[in-house]
Amino acid sequence: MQPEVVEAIGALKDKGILGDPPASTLLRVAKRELVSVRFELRALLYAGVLLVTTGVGLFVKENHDRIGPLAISAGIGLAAALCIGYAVRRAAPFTWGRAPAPGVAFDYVLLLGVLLFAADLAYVEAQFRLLGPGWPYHLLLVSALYAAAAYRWDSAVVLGLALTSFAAWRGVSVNVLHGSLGPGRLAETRANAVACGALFALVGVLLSRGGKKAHFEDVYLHAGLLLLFGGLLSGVYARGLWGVWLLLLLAVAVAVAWAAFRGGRSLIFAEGVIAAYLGLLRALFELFRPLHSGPAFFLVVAASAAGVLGLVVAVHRRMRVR
Amino acid sequence: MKGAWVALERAAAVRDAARGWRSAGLVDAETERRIADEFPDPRLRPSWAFRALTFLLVTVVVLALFLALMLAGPGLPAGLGVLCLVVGGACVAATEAQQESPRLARRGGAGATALWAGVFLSGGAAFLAHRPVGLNESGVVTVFLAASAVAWGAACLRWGSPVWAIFSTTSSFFLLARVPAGRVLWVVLGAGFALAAARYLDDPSWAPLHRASAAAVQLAGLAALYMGVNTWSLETQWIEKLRPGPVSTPASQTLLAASAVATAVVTAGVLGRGIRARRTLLLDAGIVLSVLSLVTLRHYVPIVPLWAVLVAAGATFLLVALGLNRWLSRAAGKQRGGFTAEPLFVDEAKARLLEVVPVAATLSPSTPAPEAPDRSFRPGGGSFGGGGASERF
Repeated sequence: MQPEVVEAIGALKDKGILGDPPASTLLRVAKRELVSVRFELRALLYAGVLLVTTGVGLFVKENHDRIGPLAISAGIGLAAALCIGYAVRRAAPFTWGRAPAPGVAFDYVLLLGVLLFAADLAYVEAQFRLLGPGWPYHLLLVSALYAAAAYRWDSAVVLGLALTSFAAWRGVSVNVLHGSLGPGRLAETRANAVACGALFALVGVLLSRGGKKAHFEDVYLHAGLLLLFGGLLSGVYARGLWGVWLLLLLAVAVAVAWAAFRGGRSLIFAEGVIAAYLGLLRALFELFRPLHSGPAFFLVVAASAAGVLGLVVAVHRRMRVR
Repeated sequence: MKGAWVALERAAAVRDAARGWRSAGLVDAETERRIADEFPDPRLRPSWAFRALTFLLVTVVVLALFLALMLAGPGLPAGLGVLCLVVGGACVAATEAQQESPRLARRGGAGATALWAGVFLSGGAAFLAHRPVGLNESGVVTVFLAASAVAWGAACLRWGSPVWAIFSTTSSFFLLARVPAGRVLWVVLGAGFALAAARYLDDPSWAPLHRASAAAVQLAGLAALYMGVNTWSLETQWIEKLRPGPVSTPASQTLLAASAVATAVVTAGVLGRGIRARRTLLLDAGIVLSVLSLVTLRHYVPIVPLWAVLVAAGATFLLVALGLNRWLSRAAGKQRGGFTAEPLFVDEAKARLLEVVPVAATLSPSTPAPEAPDRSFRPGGGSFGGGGASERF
């Protein structure tokens, strides 16, 4: 119960600020006479998808010799078809705007369907070698299928998978749990990360301006900036031409922060500031190298952070957060 | 907490509620503005991104200053401990100053200085216990835990935060684990904390942040109670191993059987209480304890292969969620027994967007290795079977 909210609703109703409805409904919720379990349902559905996909992967690993590829791919395909069939049946008609969600479970059943479908595709490709030496292209195919599903069924979650699959095709991992950009050669992976990041951000902005699922812009932008800044920072902290990478990083970060400031996007502004500051730390390390073991260096770091903090406070005063 | 701060917290709770009503479309912008006028809160509250940025930068300033002072210090035996206490004290003063200022109180900096106040004060006490007092390693850990429990408890009382409440309660339980009857204390005091905290969850005389802290204490108490009775924890002597010195004798079969029953009873009790009292926090805790209990059961009774357990558990989760949603949605007014599956005062579109993060983090495909001459089928999939989209699957 929220006692002050309960009290406030009564007072606001007496003053005529709140009508009835909605005062009685609001009062029931504030008194905990009506409680939503929406979050719990979503958590159960997410955990369910995670467990089923993990279990299916393990099942295939332990049984593919015994059961045979045809039966396994048919089984997974059937399960995927059932889930996607549910999505087809329940989905609202296509729109370039935001489509109403048919229910709390829709996104998760769709997610399970596309994940099983992708798993089946990967399994078939690994067994029958349909793409030959170009086997990584199946990630591009999966990404395209995810993207199509995301747009048709208005699912930001599936769009997120489409972007990470596309990045994976280029050898870049968006998954922060991996802790690195990817397993490939660093210079190549870095270039791919920067290119993918710039592409995602550009596509997001263009589609949003064109009114094509404008609400997906955040997914494109955050995935894009994560890759773009990750790639640039990896260059800044590498040996060699780190100064060039730093200049590039600062140029991009300032441009992103400026655009975010104008658009009132506080999270994107914060991403730009953090990336720029992390880059500047490398410059501080290099400029004050002789002072590394002394207190003066840390005073410089403290002063730099305080300076950025002052800038953030000043920007916040002028920024109209969306 | 000061009376003035409590009044502002109460006003902020009403304004937050009004913001939720507006996002759910139950009131218009004009009504929300009039509510804000009725419940003024002069404190500036930037968006969470700005608050996180401020928290991060203040943290860098505090740590860099600490390191600068440490390197500049004279290197006395008690120097580090004293320095920690001085910096901790400075952080306390900084937090107080920010809390007093409407422009700074909710900007994120007060949270950062409060966090480092707790860390430095606890650490300072531990360093002083080592030098010059001369306690051994075990004694230093005990002093650290005691200081941590007190420091975070005081921070919670003064500035009100469920995070500090969790830190204080957790430190207390780890401290209790260091005495001979640690497990018994975890069970008894865990239940005691949970029951005592429950009395204050709706107490109007408590500030909103203190009520949230009571909920945090309740959760920590339940976690301690569950760890105290859990069969795996008892068999592996998880709590006993936190105590210095040799581990006591293993638990008897009778005790293990009793703990299996207690594990089930505690889980069912938390879940049942959550449903009866319509407390989602207890419901969530009950769901987590149910999963842990099932994992414990699978550990001792491995009747089916792991993949079958995962698929069955996943399918059960999906079916329970689907069934519950259907059952609630088909009732009159889309509610049964005070529960509804409808989102109440939550921006559903924003919540759906936030789900991208955990899904992308756990279900994304693995990146292909640069050179993989052997591309024969090696199942196992990507992370968590994420589409199996890697060269290995």
